[in-house]
Amino acid sequence: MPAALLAVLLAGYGIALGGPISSALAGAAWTVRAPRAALVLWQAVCLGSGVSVIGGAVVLALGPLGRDLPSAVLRAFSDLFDGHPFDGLTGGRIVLLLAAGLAAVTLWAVLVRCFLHVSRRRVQHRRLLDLVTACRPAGAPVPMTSPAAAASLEGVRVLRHRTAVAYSVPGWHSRVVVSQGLLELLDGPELAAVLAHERAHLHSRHDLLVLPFQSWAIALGRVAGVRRSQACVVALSEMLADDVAARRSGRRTVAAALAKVAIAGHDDVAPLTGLGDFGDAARPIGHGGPVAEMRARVDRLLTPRPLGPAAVAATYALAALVVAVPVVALLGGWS
Amino acid sequence: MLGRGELERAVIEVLWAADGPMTAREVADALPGRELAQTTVLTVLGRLEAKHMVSRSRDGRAHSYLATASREEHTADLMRQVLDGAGDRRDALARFVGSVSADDVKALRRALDGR
Repeated sequence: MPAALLAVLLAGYGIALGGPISSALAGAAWTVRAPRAALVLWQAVCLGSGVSVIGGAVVLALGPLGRDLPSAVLRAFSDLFDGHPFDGLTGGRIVLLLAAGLAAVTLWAVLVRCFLHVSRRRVQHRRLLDLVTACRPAGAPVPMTSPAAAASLEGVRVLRHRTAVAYSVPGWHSRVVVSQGLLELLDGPELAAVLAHERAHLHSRHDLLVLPFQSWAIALGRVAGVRRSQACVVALSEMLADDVAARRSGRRTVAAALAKVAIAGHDDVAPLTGLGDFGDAARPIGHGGPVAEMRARVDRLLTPRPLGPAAVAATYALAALVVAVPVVALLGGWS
Repeated sequence: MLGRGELERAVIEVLWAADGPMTAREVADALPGRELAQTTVLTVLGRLEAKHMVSRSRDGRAHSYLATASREEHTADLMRQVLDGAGDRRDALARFVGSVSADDVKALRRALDGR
């Protein structure tokens, strides 16, 4: 097919992936039943979208220079180094080429900037945390004094605050943090479940998984599909961590811990921040869809309906296809 | 030999426990069971000052040091970062539970009771 048609089809495919298809995937109820496969599919959609849109633009720009993308790009580079750049290209094609290059560079720059920003914030938080907290509960022994619970708190930082929170600081020097309030709220097994969840995030480096979606949602946040993709990937990684904790502590225990912490967090009037009801103020994006985080997490723990192996395999196959389409198109070339 | 972090924590805890500004000598004396050189304590105080945890003022001939904020204020600051960061695009921390709506709470209570 002619280069122009291929380019338009590729661009359309890429835009569809990043827009309506992402939105559809964000609303798909089956994803919570197979979070790992769904995450792979999300990554494929993200990668496929970027490659298709930018690839399509480059094809349209460099069409006359070759029969497929590699040959056209090689020709463009050799022209550049031979001292006659943009040979055979009209003004419009040159502009398009530069625009595609700029878009690609910008996407990478946003990713790097986001990573640096997030890393800096983590370091600052961690440094203050290390000075302010100790690795053991403050004051009198807390309710859970079983050796197992005490052992599970190994290396965990305890914030002396009555608001029940648990979180981790990802990165090279990672930290798992619980508050005094959380220690008083949960029993031994529930605490162990929470710690297992946080450690799963750190061990599997979910922060790196989320980073591209986070950064490109900043750059392309106007596109609803892109925005929702970040919320979905975050939610699915939470579910993955829930599953790891559930294998260790049992699903009901993890669900109980989730419910208790969520309820306590909602009920707690936090004078220091002035936020009484988080409900409307900081609702995560994606509210209302099947991956509306909290309820979906508890429901899938209490009534798991894992996707069958055939469906899971089909999801992985679909992910491969999503990426394969633009790659084959770009390598297969045009007439 | 204590690590950097542990030294800093020991020193700031002395300052938090203090009623007012302390000189480096007083801090060194207050450190539990350690025979630390005053120069070491001065170095640590300098690092804490660079992190804005400690402020230094001239008190006659000696410099005196004061914690810039209490442990509680720092804890509140950390907690703020955890709680307020939830809706942030460039969220740096991984929270166990995000924010929930009143509807979610009702459903969660039901789920918890039904357990």
